[in-house]
Amino acid sequence: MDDIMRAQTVYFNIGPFEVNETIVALWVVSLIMLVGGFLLTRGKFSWLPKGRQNAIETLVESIDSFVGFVMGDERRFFTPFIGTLMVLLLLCNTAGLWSFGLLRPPTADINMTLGLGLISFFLINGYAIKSHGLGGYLKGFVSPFFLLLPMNVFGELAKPISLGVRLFGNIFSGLVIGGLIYSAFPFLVPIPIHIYFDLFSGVLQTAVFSILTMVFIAMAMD
Amino acid sequence: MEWNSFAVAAFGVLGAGIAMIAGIGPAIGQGYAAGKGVEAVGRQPEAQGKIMLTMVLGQAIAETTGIYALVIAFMLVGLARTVIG
Repeated sequence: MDDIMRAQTVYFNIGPFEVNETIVALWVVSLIMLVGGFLLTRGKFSWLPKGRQNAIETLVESIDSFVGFVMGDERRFFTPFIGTLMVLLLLCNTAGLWSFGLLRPPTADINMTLGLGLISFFLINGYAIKSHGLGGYLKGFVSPFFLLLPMNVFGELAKPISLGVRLFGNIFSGLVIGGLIYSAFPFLVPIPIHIYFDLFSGVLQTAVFSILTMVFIAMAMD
Repeated sequence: MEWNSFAVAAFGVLGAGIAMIAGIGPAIGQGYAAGKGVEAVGRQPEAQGKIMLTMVLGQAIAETTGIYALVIAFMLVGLARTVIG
């Protein structure tokens, strides 16, 4: 039943684990992030930024000010996590574009997106417990009164599922529609489709996933 | 192919199409949010960043039901493909 919701081509097995297209694409993305991060931050940074350092500082500062804008200035310590998430999602969502169709976008696999949703889930609840204490956290489930306990529990459990499924649905539907267009008009027509589904939708879903994660964490901490 | 698996595959694909009628809801909701966002920016152009953020966030939440329907449709198509083999 779930066969269409995950990558099918299995390259080889490591023990009980299948290494499929998603894993390989994710390896490539991680390698790009590691090597890029190493190369771009190598050497000494000067007081007067120019060239490469300018680009890096612009990127970091814009993400930092965006996190401050969404979560409040006192929670800027989330910038490393949110920034990494943004770069990872951006590379993953547009993987079909910059690899010229060699890689299947890793986020078009429900396992990957639900995993990211789980990370957000643990962060949300971890920071809720950290800022309210365990008693205050559990009390939040029976507010405003105790009959709403099941609704609150289901609302909390629905957060990672809706985060993961939203990202998966958007990217995977782009993949499916792109495939349909390619089988009908293989020449010239798919270019605007790529601009919409890969660039626009990929960037937008990156922003939506990270903004929702930030808003949920900030709401849980308030 | 025996009748049962044929019926499951046929009604599965049909159900996938019917499930996507849910796409009407998010379309109306997102369009309404975008229209209200344009109105708000027209009234207060200096608050564009905040309005844009709130609008995109609301649209993403409104989209959730449509995405659920899409996933149900994918599951039904996957079921039909599994049954046909």
